[in-house]
Amino acid sequence: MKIDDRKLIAYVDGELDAAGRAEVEAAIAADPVLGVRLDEHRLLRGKVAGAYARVADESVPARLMAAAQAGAKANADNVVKLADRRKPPPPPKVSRPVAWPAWGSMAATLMVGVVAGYLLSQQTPAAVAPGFDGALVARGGLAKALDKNLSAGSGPVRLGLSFKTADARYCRTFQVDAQRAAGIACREGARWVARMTTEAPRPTQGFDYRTAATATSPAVLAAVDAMIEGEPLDRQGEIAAKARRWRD
Amino acid sequence: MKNAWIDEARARTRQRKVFAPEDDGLSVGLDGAAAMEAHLEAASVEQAMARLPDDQRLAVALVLVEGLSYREAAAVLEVPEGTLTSRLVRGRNALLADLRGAA
Repeated sequence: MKIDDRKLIAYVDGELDAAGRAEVEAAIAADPVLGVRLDEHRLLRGKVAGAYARVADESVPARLMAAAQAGAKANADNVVKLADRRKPPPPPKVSRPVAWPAWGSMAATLMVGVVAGYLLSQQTPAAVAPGFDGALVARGGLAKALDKNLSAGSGPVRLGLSFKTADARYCRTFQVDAQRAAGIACREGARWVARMTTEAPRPTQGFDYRTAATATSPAVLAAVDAMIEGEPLDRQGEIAAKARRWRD
Repeated sequence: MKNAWIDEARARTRQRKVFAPEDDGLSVGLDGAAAMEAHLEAASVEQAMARLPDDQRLAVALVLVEGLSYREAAAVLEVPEGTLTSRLVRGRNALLADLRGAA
């Protein structure tokens, strides 16, 4: 039984069926060299995806969308605060050209605020960003959480409900506190595509534990009602779906 | 989508030529050695991607970056799935060889 690169890469990309996966896994167990090769391809996959995920984050301000705008607005507040908090410029010693230095330092102060605000906004990458076909694709921490996490009521990315739609896709409700964004993402191929996004309620302090349902905003729940087929997944269901990489 | 990737590659090539000093300046603002390392790694991956033939780069980009399934990516490129997978295999082996040489 020979495993060629084509099969190995298909395994890394999650494109094999159960029989194919078992075949590759058996071959790897028998051949350490093949295991090294597998690791190389896994690492490459992560590197390539990572390199362009950073690119997507870089250009977020240019392609802002509803979810990212909430975050940007919060950061815009910082511009004003920073500028206000800076000490007023010392009164100029020479009395004659009073106006210009004062205006100049005010402008410089404002500039510092603007740059700081910009840098702050850069530090909060968008949770969803348009893919090259225009679909809103979950990125970064959100994409990772959708892949790996079970529903939980705490953490930077909270996942409320997981369910299946009439067209047999897995969908999950999410809420990202950093960007005050909430919505529903559905598995399409290897991507999580946002079916709806809305502004999340301000995170409440002091409620670390809550049921999955109360963590989900009414607008999102209404959309779930319209999409869901059957019941939401229970914990066992989520574990099983995750093991299948949220595909069927 | 295919054209978007081609445009992206061209625009990046131009940017690298014109804006290299500015890029260097940008990394000053990045925090810490880990961020710098990630930045450099991303740059070397992008350069290796740029060296691939268009066919292979598109196949790799659609599957690894855009997260399309083989079937979806083959549909976008309007080629049979077998053609897509062989481009993927050649492209990824070339990337591995390239990045190994760079490290």
